[in-house]
Amino acid sequence: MTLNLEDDILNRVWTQRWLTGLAVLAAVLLTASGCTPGDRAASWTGMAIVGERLYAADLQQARAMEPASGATIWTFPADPEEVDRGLFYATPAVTEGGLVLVASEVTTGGFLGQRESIVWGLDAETGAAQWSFDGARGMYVEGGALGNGVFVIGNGDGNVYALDAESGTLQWTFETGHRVWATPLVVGDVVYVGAMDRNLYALEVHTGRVVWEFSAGGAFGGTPILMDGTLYIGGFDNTFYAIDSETGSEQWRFEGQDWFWGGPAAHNDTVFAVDVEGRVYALDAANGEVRWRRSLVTDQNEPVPVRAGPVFDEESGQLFVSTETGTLYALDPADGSTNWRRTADGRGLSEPVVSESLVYQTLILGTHRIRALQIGDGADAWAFPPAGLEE
Amino acid sequence: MLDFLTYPLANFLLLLYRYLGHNTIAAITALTIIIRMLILPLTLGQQRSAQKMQELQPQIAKLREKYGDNQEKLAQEQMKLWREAGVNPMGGCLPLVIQFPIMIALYRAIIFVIPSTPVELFQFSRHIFIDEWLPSLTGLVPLQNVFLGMDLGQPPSIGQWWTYSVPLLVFVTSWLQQKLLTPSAAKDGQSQTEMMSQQMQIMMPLMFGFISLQFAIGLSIYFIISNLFGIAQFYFIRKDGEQESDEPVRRPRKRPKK
Repeated sequence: MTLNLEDDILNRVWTQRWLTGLAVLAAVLLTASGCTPGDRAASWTGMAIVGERLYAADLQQARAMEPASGATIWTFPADPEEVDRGLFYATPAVTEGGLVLVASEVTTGGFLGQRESIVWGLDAETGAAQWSFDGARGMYVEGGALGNGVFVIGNGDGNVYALDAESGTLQWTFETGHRVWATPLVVGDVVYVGAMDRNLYALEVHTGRVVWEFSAGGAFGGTPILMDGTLYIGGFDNTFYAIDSETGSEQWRFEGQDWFWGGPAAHNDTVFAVDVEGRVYALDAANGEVRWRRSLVTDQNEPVPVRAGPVFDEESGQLFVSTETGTLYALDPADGSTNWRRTADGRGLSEPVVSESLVYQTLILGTHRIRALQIGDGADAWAFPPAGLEE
Repeated sequence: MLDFLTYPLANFLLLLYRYLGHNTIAAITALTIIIRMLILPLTLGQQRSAQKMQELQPQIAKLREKYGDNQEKLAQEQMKLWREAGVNPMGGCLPLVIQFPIMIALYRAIIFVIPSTPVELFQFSRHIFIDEWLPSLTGLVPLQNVFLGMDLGQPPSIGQWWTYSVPLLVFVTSWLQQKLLTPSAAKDGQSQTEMMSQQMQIMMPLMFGFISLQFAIGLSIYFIISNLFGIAQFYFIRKDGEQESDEPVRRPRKRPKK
């Protein structure tokens, strides 16, 4: 066999292409697979209505709005292009002293791009920053809870942080064995917080000292509710628990079929819970017996994924469930039948909020990030960004 | 993308975690070894090719002496020698290319089971199918995420300076493996192909080191274990080669007696 010069040239070219090709292929595959650590929606946004204001984290900014019209009162940062403040996810909280507490995740640029999580104390009237706390290393997912002048919030670095609500000074930290993504519940002098280490902790709100801890077979991602001395919460072990709030002892458990992520809701002596496959349960608060159950399904009879817990509204007597497919359901709490449902573009991964005649849904990866619907029939009231201003 | 590979890998990681003492590093290590065993036919071919290249170095040196002034002729004779010996000088690239999709699927599997963001975890919650047979597995997610104070679901961070030892280890093990796979060139000169091979010896470790800086430490654990497996594999092959294949190398040296 003889070789000519063309073979040699081809060989050289081919060799060079292999080298550059390998690097390009790696970059392309990593990017195409969504593996790049860029600004994908990493969590869901939250909102709260306090007094006459709606406070929302909407990724780019924290904002105060008129609940009835959706008109923006202020934003933080004022300029949406001012991205060095980071992405806002966690549900805002409002202190008695007139501060709005929000959290953001900042990604710094450069070769060793780092992520930094910050809690901001903003003036409720103007949105101006009064203080900030950047002591956590992980991500703030859901919001914090206020009680006795302390703001308690969990973080992806596995710690629970307690800050002085008015100054942002760190009061204490409590280290769990895994991430803490759930919003805590503060009742009196105790804060209850579920963690990914499969424990529900009861901590003293002033010191962080453990009052008791309850171990389950799976992680806790939602906020418990407290009713008549009993805490109710579901876990990633497909199990829903009733726990004595004084002692941490289990009162009853209900074995479901999939993860319970969002926190439950309650009405009279019934507890409502939704699993991640869209199964809605109404359980007897006293013993966990199923009063009714139904599955939320698409028109093609496919299960509807649900991350957020249900919300019960006393005024209208309806149970609201926001789904990953963007549909907001209004259910009859007596039997789970659908009163109405409305679908939007985007993913509804956080709990809806109800105030007076409107129900509010936050969405990610869709046309609108906040929409307000009439509580009676689901008719559109307003949406943000308004049609035509989609970003 | 690659969901057909990612979700089974993530479920398999859960299974390994369950039976390896709820230890994430052990589960990733076991999965890495299994993957390396599955692609063993490819990597064996790569390493045997590299070994043959090494064995051919004395003959290539002689060709250089003979055709030192005639680069074209030298290249032709060199290619002829490689072809006759069944060696592809760039044969090391194919296993690397095949490993990329596996690497990406494994990375996604790792961030599903040790998620740093809730959206990733929620996505995976709907693709845990192994609990159909072993219901106790569903509660294992997310897996234990801390190893030596490092968060396996996060990239190295300045706040925890010691986490940068992981990309460094990726670079060092990757370089060592690449060095073993790349035939050493003769001291008196290099052909274009050899120069490219030498460049790859530094480029690939740099690329993997850079990836390790940007992505979850759990993926870097895969790189390190995978590289150590490759290094061990090289030594086993060399040992076998020394025992079995002295004859074919010596035979051509007897020909000049004609």
